[in-house]
Amino acid sequence: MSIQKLFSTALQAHRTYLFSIQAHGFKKDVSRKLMELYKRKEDIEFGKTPSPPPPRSSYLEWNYDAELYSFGKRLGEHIEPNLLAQSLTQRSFIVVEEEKQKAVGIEDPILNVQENTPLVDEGKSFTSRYVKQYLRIALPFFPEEGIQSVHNYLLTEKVIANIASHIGMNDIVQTAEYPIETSSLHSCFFALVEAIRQSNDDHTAGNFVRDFVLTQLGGKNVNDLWDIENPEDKLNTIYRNHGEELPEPRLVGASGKNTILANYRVAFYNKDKQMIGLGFGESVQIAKEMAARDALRRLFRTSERDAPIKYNLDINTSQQKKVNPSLEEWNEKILLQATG
Amino acid sequence: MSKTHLYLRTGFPRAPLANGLGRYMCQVKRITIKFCKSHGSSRGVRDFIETDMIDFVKQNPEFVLYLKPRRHHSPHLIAEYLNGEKFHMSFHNFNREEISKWVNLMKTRAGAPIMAYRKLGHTDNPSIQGVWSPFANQDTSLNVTSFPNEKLSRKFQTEPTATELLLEMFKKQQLEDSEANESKEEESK
Repeated sequence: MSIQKLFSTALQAHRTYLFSIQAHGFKKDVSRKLMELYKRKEDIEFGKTPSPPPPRSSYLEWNYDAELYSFGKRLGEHIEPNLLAQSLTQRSFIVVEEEKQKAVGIEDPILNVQENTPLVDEGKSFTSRYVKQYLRIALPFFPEEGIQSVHNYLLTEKVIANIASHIGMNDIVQTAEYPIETSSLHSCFFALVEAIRQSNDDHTAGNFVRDFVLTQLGGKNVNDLWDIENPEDKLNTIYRNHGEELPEPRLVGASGKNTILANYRVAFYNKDKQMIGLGFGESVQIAKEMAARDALRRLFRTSERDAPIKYNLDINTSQQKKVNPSLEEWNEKILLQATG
Repeated sequence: MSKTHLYLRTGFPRAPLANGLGRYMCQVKRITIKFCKSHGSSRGVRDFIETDMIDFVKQNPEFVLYLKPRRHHSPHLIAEYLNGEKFHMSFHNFNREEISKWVNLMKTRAGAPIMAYRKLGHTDNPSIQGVWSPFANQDTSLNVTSFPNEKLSRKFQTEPTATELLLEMFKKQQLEDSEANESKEEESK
C-alpha cells in the first residue's frame, strides 16, 4: 500500500480544513437573503401583509421607569411620577392585566397603576380652552367662527396623535392593542396635559400646549383651515356694519378669453376708490369670489402681507378674555379701539 | 451591495414637529451600546463607560442609555429617534475620545436619514408675491394708458420675416433659371 493511499483520507481532510479556514468570516448576506426570502414568502405565498416589528417594550433593553423619567425630562416639565404613569395607561391595559392575574389564580388583582380616564376629559377641556384663548389673543381681528375652525383642526385626532408619537408616546403608552391606535394617542396626550397641570399650574400646562399644539400652525395658512361660504355677502355685511357704501367689484384684467386658459382679474373698490381686495380666476364669477376672500383676509389681518402668528405669548389663563366678534357683528373701528 | 449605497438620497432640511418653534426637544429617545467585557475591540467602550458615562448620563436625562454586554462581539451603538428612525454604528477599536464625540453627535442629530441637501433652507411658501397670474409684474404705465393706443397698436416687426425672405430667394432663383434657359436657346439657334 502506497503512502499516498494510506494517508489519503488524512490529506483530504487536511486540504478541506485548509480550504475551510481560507473561507473565513461571518457571511452577513446569508441572513439578509434568508430574511428577504421569508418576507417574500409571507407576502406572495400566504398572501399575508408583513407582520409589524415587535413592540419596543418586548426588547431585553427596556426599563419602563427609566423611560418614564427621561420622557418627562425630554418635555422639559416636572411631572409627578404617579400622575405621569397614570396618564400613559389606558383602561384596556388595566383590563387585560387583571384578566392575566385572574387566569393565574389571583382573586383580587393588584396593579400599582391607575387608568387615565379621569384625566382625559379634564385635559381635553383645558387644552380646548387654552387653544381658543391663545388664538383670540394672537389673531384679534379673526372672527370667532374662524377661531373655532382652527381650534377644531388643532384638536383633531390626526394632529394630536402626530404630536403624541413625535414626543415619543407611541412606545411608552400602556395599552392592550398593538400597534397603538391613534385614538389611544389622542386621549393619552390630553391626559398628559392634565398630569402637567395637576403637577404644576395652569400657566405651565398652557405653555406646554402652546409649545407643542399651537406650533403646529407654523407654515400653515389659517384661512385654509376655515371655509367661508358666500364671501361677497360676508364682505357686504361688514360694510353695512361700518355704515359705509357697499364695495364695488370691477373687472380689472382679462386674458385668453374663450380659450382653455382664460383668466379674469376682479378687484373690489370702496367708496374712496381705494382697492380693498384683488382676486383672479378662470371665470368672472370665480375671480369675484376670490377678490372678496382677499378683501376679507386683509380685514382680518391674515393675508400673506401680515406678520405670522407669534408663538411666544404668555397667556394669563385665569383672566377671561372676551370672545372675538362673529362675522355678522364684525366691526373694524370697535376692534381697533379695543386693541389700541 | 444594494443600490442604496450607490445613490445618496436628496432633500431639504426639515425640523421634526416644528422643533424650536416652541421649545427645543432632544430628538434621540434611546441609545443602546453593545460591547464585550473582555475583547480588545471593546477597550475604548469600556474606558468610556468607566470614566465618562456617569457624567454624560447625568447631563443628558432626555434619553435612556442602555448597556448590553455581548460576549466576543464587536462593539456598536444603536440610536433610536423620535421620528422612528434607527441608526447603527460600529465602535470597533474606537478609543474613549472618539466614542464621546460620536455619542455626542448622535445626541444632537435630528434623526433624519443621511441625505444630500439640495438647499440649506426650506419654505412651504417659496413666493412672497403669492400665486402667479398673467397680470403679475405688469408694466404699471398700462394703468394710466388710454386705449386704443397708437404706440401699442403699432406693428412690432417691420423687417421681412424668414418666410418672406425665402419666397423672395425662390422667385429670384426662378427668374435666373429662366434667363439662363433663354440664353441657352439663343446659343443653340
